[in-house]
Amino acid sequence: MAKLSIPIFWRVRKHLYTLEGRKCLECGRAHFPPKNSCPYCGSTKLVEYYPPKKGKLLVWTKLYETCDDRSAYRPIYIGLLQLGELRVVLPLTDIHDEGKLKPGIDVELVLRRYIEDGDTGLIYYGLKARPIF
Amino acid sequence: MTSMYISGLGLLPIDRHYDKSLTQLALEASREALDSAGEYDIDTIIIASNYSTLLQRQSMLASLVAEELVPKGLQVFNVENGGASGLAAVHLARALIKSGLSRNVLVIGVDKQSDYPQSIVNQTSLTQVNYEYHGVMGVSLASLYALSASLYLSKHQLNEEDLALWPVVMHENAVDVRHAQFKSKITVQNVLQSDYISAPIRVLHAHAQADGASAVLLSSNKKESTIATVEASHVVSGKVEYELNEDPLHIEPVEKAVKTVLMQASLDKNLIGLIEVLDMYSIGGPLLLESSGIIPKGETLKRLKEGRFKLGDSVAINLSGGIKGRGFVEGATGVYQIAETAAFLSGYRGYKQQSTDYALAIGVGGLSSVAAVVLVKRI
Repeated sequence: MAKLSIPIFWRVRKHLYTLEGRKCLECGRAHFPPKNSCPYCGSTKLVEYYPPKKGKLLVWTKLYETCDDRSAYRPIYIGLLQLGELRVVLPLTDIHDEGKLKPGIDVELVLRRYIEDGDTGLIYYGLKARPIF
Repeated sequence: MTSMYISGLGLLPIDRHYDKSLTQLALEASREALDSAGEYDIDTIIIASNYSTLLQRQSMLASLVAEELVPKGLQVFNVENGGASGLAAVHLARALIKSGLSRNVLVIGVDKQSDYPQSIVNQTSLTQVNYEYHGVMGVSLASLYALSASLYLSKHQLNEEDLALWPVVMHENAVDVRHAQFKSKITVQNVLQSDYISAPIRVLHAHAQADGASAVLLSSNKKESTIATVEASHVVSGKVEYELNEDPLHIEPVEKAVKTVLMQASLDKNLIGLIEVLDMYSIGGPLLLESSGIIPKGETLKRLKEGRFKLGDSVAINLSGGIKGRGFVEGATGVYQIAETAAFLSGYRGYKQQSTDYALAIGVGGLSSVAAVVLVKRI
């Protein structure tokens, strides 16, 4: 199966580069990825919400079984994070000492490579989280 | 409440059927169901398949099957709702029968993974998360279940050994299930020595690649061949994105669907004596059972350790062997679940029999994208 097409990635690039989410003016809750109406109360009164660049790691896993196009990065660390009012799942990076990777540690966002589309295609960038020790 | 009768079952052995196409598998299961049902004039075919378009590149599969099965023409539908496709198809059949638009519906579940290497199947399975976001990040369904497994074990002070008991029991249950993919036993040690897929989920927590097809004939009228009834069913959407769940350990659409089904049938949950639950990566079992409200939070693995949930217990769980023992045939799994509940309630053709009147089949698509639940009653 093909990787993301250029137009699809172009449409979501801002969200992947900034984690731009939405905050609901009715129920006050923030969410990511951004929706056209609030996934909690259904209201369409939403404003952009940019999370802080630092947050906490809630839980993580180390994924070994990936697709071929990601084999150079295998295994991938993946975490559930709390960034201000947003909870997001993101790849983790710069893990030099897995023993220090514990729920509750501080993390910060960094722009990194997600995937390359072969030798001639696009390089897809996006945010990952790295631990602050 | 109008019942819907289950009057024919087809349960093909789950395996790597290299010699059979998707259509052949669907036709074989259909003929088995129709043969066991006797004379039926089917007016509707609903096919549940998750990967027919993505792997076999075949859309409108129901028409392709109908061409050979009922050439005169009939109502056809294709249902794709991830791992909940099969149960959603049964729900749709019930809606058609209750409305009077159909009288005899053949629901077929079919999927086939072994035509492709694991890496292609993994790539395809990224369609079960929000592809534009988690897909491009490489966040797979296995990794999301792994996050939940870590949270679950830590919240309930359990360890990997406790989780390893789930696939061990599932393999035990599958030993005498003739359509099961694996009829061999495994040990906790085997599970703990298998490689990680996504920690703490290991290879022996996960399903193997599998092909299979199951079919059930659902009718508005009771016949001689009727072995069970569908008393209630429901489908509820949830959150596709893991992080949008209020509590990652509570699958809200499962709670809602089970509640609605019990309400439809005016049934006390304690009267359910058999559950077939979609136990993705082992942790899916406890997550769904506890979200349903039938098992208290944190109790599933503890009770499993005490030897509960086996044949003859007040509630037996996954006598089929679940995704690990019976196997996981993606969109077809829900149809297997329905056929199995009917078989285990009635002792159909040598299948083991659980002594109870009511069985529940619970499935989800993704981790929490959609839940489908069907209540089956013994005749």
